[in-house]
Amino acid sequence: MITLDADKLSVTEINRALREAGEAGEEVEVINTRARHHLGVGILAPVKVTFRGSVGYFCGGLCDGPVINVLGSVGWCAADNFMSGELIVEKNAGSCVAPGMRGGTLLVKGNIGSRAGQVMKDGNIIVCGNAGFMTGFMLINGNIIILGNAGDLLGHYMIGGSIFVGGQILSLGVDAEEAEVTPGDKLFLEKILDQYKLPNPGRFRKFVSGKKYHHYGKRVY
Amino acid sequence: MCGIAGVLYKNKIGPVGKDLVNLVYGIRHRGEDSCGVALFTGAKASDEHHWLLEVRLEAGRERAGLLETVARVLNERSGRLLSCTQRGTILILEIEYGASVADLCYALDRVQVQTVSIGKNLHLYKDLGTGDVLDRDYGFSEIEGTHGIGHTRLATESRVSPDRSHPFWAYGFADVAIVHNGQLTNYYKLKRYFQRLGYQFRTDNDSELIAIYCAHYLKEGFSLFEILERSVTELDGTYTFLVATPDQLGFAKDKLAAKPLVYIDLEDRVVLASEEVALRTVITDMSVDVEEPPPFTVGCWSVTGEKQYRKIFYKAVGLE
Repeated sequence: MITLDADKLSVTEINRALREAGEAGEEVEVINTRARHHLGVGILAPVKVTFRGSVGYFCGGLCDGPVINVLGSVGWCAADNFMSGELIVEKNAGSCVAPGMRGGTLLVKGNIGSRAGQVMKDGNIIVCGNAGFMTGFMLINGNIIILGNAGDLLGHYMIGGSIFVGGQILSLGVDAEEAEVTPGDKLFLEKILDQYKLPNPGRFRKFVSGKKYHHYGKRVY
Repeated sequence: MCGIAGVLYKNKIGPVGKDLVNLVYGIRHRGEDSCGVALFTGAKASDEHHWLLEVRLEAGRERAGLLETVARVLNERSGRLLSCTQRGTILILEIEYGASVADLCYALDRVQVQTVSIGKNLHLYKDLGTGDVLDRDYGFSEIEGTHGIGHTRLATESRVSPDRSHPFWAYGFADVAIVHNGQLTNYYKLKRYFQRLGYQFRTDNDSELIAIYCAHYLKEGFSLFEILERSVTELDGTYTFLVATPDQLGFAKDKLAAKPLVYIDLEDRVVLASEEVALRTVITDMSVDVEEPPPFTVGCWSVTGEKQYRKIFYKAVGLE
């Protein structure tokens, strides 16, 4: 295991070291993170990275394959354009997490801020606590699973994908509507919650796009 | 994009100047055009006619001439200049003055004296450049006080100059300062409204409006918390701002919450900033978690330690 001290290195140096460790297949831990921005960005190998402390904005952005553990909170825009792999956050996450996410899993064990999963194209976001307002804003595809409560305007202008909520919701956004949870959904939820050893709230509500506003179907020009 | 920060000590005097240097350093990457701080020392003025007036000594202007002009304006209004100290390009004048603060400010403006702030114990330093340069020139890190706010600016709404940098002091009102991150879209409409009420604006920056807005309603007798509550429905745009008055520090976050704010509320102090990375320059104990106010939330802390906090619901403005 390689240990990097964020106090002594620049962000570029840390990310370069993480990439090199990824190529060499070594596990890395980063200490003294002190909520610094842009940590763990652009890692394209299945390396295991642990941040011992909170990290700032854009953590795990543009990544393909790594398993990143944050033993603290993350700031805004974590897992930006995440392609595959896992980003597991032990505490809370800020706003705009997983914008344009294309695959993999973001697991937040605390609460998340506003606009999670904005224009997310695939993958899974799991939130053990509560989600802020406009969660799943313009969601295109993928799953957002909220074990707690969701804020205002859930699934605002969502185009596709599914949002599962275990608790209460404050209000639904434009063009989001409730759908029936199918046996397939139940199986998927049980499997993914089991995988991360998370408590199953038992009953989920499912929200999908009403398909009234955005159409990306066939059109004759 | 701009960075905002604030710190308030509960029931005690703390190293506010030093904290603000650290906080402004922590948010420096959010804008390096200009920066500034406003601090309240918590010192009680000896009497109600005793004021602290800050004026800018612009390049090419003589100090003696400027002081003479200020003294003349004061004498005409049966006031007098007591003492003068200088920090950077700002002259801090102790004055004795018994009439309207707005009249004095407008009169100084007519003789081309740029007032930076006026108050009982408000210190306001702002200039171009980054926080460390500002502290080197103005040396505010040694100032102790009850609370203060800081700002780093990436200019979007008006050009880069010392008077257009934050914190904005409500021109013509004592002891009100704000820092703002965002844009107001109904700026011209509200500016014309306040101009019709007789207020004067000194810049073309939208943030100045927030300062006048808060000062106007404080004058009308509203509490700071009530003003913050109404501001989130009356001010349009995307913004998060902090307001400091002699005994309170408040924040307001708009309904879209595109501008960040996080805070750590401890027993002896509360620290707010745009980003956690700035808070960690002041509070190094990583076991303390930060909190992020949800959209459409206002809050304020007073120097006696009371906290008021409210999440406003969408129903209030008919968005639902």
